[in-house]
Amino acid sequence: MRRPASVRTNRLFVVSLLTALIFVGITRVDDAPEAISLREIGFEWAILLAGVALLLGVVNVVWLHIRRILLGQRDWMLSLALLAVLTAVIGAGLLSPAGIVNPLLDWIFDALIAPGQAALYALLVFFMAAAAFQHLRVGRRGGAWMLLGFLLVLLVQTPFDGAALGVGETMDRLADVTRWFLDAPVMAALRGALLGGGLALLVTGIRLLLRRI
Amino acid sequence: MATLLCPHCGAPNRVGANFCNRCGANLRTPDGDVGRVADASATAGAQSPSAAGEQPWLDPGFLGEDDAPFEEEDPDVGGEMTPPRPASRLVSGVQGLLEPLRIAALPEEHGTSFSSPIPAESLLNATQMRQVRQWMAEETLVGVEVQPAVTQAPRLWLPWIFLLMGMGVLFPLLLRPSPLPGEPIRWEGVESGFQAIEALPSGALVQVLWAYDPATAGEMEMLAAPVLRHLQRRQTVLDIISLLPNGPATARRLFASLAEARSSDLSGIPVQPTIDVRFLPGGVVALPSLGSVRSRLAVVLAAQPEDVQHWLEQVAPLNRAPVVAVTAAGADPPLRPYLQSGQLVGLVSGFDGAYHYVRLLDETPSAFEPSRMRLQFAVQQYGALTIVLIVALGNLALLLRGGREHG
Repeated sequence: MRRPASVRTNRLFVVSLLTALIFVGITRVDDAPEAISLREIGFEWAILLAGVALLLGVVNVVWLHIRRILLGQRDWMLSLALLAVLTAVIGAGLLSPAGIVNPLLDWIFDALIAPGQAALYALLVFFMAAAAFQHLRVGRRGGAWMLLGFLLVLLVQTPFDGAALGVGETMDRLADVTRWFLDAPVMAALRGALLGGGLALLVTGIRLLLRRI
Repeated sequence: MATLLCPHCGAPNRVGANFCNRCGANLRTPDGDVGRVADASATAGAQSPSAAGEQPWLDPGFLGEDDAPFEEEDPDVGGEMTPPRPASRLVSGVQGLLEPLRIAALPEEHGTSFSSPIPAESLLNATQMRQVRQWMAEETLVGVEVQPAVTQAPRLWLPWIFLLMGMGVLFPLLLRPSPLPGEPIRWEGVESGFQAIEALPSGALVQVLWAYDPATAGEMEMLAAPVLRHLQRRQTVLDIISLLPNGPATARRLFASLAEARSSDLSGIPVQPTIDVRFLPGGVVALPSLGSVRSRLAVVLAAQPEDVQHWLEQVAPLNRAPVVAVTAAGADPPLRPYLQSGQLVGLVSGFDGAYHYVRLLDETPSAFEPSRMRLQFAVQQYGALTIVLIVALGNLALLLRGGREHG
């Protein structure tokens, strides 16, 4: 038997869900001016809420790392560096008349963030090569099909390699075959997965809603 | 009844027993001398007072008092610590059970006799030592023998793969070889995207969703640069939005580089004086707020297909602006059905898309861009060829071993 508090929580949940559903429905109405203004106000609130949540996240990160430093926990120096950079960036953005386009922030982005992110992403190629060495093998179950698909897409996407490998003359036919593969079997599987996932989500949502009521 | 004394613990065992009933020691040794066989009538009274006879621990009342080595420990060694009372058996009266082992450890003390262990040779004679060595050499696992997994797969040695891949990328960067021959394939969607922008009137409002950050800027800037240059040439008004914290800075950097390397065709065209890139927190939830902007066209610059899908689901039905997707090559296959259904009016993806878009622009490029694009093409070509080589090596190694992998 459910406790009263649990029932109240469930009703609150259902009411919130239905309100959100009605709001989303209103956002799709274009003819009524009231609906449009309501939609704009609602999304402004949502953006404000997300901004506040972002600020709360920053406060949480700051508090977490201050505690790490005060307690002298492991790698507290890294926490100190994080707080120093955070203070510098926020201070530069708030104090500089140029705001977020001041030279210090530009330098931090150009010299630290951009190359760092690009370098980390570029490392993926090494692990992709290792994975290709390990898994794209004819001897594996289904490996021949995977290898065939890999070579086909690679040659069509990088036709220079096709020319280098001596299949440049047949590149147009290879492109047609690849296009057919993508349009027919691959897309059928992909759409099946997408539709199946969507329907499963819908059914799960309805079941959840009905049970809660 | 004749008994056999265990050479390990001295317990009496039935003659012919394979293992000691007390400690489990192997009694099948050839030197299980007959001298240890004694008449049970002579020893039973002294060694086995209980009814259980040769297995006194089977008696329910047995508490292990006959465990002489434990009882004989020097009480001074442990200081004030009193040895624990032997544990009683949980199950008794069943033949073949071994007496429970009692494990007691004393804290390590420096400066006592425990710091230097007593060599086993001083306690055991040569025969006993040989017996101990034999026991230690025997397999302890009985039952099903576990065979080590034998795989025919060539072992992956990551440093070699990484080295090969690094050389494949560094070779064109350092030596600048001439690009390999061949022409990129023009996929459907590039020309229609170009035409959608070309048809825009001067001053038309175009929404741009900036959905990539520096991680994928290497590929995406090559694509975004000609499209944005085309939009500037059409003198459109750009409303740029990003859901990524690093998106605005990435956009500003690209616009700065476009302003620096303006081609001669653009020199006489006034461009938008200020490019304001807005950051919207909240992710996809914030996207429908853009639906009230009545733009003539929307351009989505995205490294992932989900960003384009979110725009098509959340914004495009509201403002009904046609959408051109400019994406990384990996995002192309999932987005192609949207192009076929008409939800996308153009799809420019990968460096082949960028290549053909630049050719459609038919503008005089700056001195910097062709060399950069050529270098990027060369690195990508040789990198892809290296991956093909690595895959071929993996298959060759498997072929030479003549094996077949499972899994």
